[in-house]
Amino acid sequence: MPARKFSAGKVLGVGALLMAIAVPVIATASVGTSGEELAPMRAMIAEFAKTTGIFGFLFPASGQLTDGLGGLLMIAVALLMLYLAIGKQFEPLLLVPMGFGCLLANIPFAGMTDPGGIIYYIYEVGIKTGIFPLVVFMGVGAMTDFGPMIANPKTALLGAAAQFGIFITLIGALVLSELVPGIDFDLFDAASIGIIGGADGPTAIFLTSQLSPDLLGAIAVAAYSYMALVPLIQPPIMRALTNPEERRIRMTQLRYVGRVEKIVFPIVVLGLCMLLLPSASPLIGFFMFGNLMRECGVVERLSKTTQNALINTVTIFLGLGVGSRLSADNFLNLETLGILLLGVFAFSIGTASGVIMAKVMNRFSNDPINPLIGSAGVSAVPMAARVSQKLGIEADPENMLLMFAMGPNVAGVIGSAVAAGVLLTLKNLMV
Amino acid sequence: MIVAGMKLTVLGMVVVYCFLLLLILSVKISQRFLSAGSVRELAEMEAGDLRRRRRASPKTDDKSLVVVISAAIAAHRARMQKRK
Repeated sequence: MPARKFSAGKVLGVGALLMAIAVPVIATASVGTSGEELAPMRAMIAEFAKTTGIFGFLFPASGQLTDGLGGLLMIAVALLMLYLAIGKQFEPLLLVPMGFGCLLANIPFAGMTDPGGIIYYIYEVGIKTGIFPLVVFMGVGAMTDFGPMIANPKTALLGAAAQFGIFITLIGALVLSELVPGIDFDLFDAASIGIIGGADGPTAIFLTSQLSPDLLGAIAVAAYSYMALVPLIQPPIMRALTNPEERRIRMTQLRYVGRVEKIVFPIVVLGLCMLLLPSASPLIGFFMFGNLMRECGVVERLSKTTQNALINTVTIFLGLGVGSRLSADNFLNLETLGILLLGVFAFSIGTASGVIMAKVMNRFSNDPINPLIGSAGVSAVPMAARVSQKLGIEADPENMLLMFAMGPNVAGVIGSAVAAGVLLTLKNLMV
Repeated sequence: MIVAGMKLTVLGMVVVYCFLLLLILSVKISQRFLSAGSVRELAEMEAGDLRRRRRASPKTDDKSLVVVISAAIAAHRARMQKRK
């Protein structure tokens, strides 16, 4: 090691040399600053007051009081998000960083969302590029067990049916745009709003960041809020569309799915994506990569990191980045109200179409299908499957539907990624 | 614009259904080739479980069985001796 060759005298010599360089530099700096005089005390206080948050809220740079009050309202929205996350435990893993990101983004003069600010870089590097949602999707893949779907593959059709929610909401957004003055959604905006119906946070954020970044904050808030509200939104629709007899239907035991089948599955899905819909391959590719790590059994460490440390780290920055888009001019408008309304509509249509599809399949299938598992096709893993299980137990305490509902549930994730892939091709479809 | 949305809906749902139908087909085909392996894997797992259970339980069962039988024999002998 070269350092060991240094004698004490040489080390002292290097120190003296550093001092010789540093002292004149500091001296020059102090001479430079001492040459400038401070303004009189009164002017200093007045200038300082202009840099406070109170001044920023009351006298915003635009000169309009409403902008300052808008900032205050956004802080109230951020606090509401934090309350829902901490007090009510609504999707806390995302709403806590998102709410805090919203708080930070609305501090006047802090400039955290302006070029040079930390949240600006988090957004530009992680969300605008689509990196964060894809890494989160990889983690979701590493946590997903496709066994129930492979054991009963026809339940994948329920995952397809639930995607009606996405496309009907897309039409709904365009209709709202035609009918309500003050709401002006183009086709890209409508596609981004529709994807809320996919009930899949990373997919919604990825698609919106590519098609309609201005709506990102409102769409992410709607998507995650409604995902947390799945146990409240779905049951009334499921009860309305089924009778007690249908809810009591018992399904046949699922077969055991071996390791090789589970390893082949992600490669088959990616192969289909490669051949049919390459535009969906960022989403499906990362999802299946995560799943392959889980199932292959030879990269246990990577799989565990993806499922825990990596997804948690990225979720923090994803939340902060999305929260930074929650500024008054982007969020406090009629369009946000429209997005929130359309979001609940999307979830409802997705749930209803899944249940109806299950009823139709039950009529034609040899094996009985409980229509309650149809609602799980809207993704929202595993919340939607738990709702199916809960309603099933209500009708028949010995009827365990959870594993059967996991099939359409994970198929719904693939279905919404495919739907997002179609919507991503929208730019190419325009004349 | 609404018509454009409807066109997109038809295209989107057709692609989603086609993709998932092909996925079902692919899963069924792979099941045909790989399900034998799954059955074997399950049989091995069950056999392993059974072996583990046997290995874990016989010691305690045998001991208690020996104790019960010895007690019964002792009681029987005592009864026979009393009669004599």
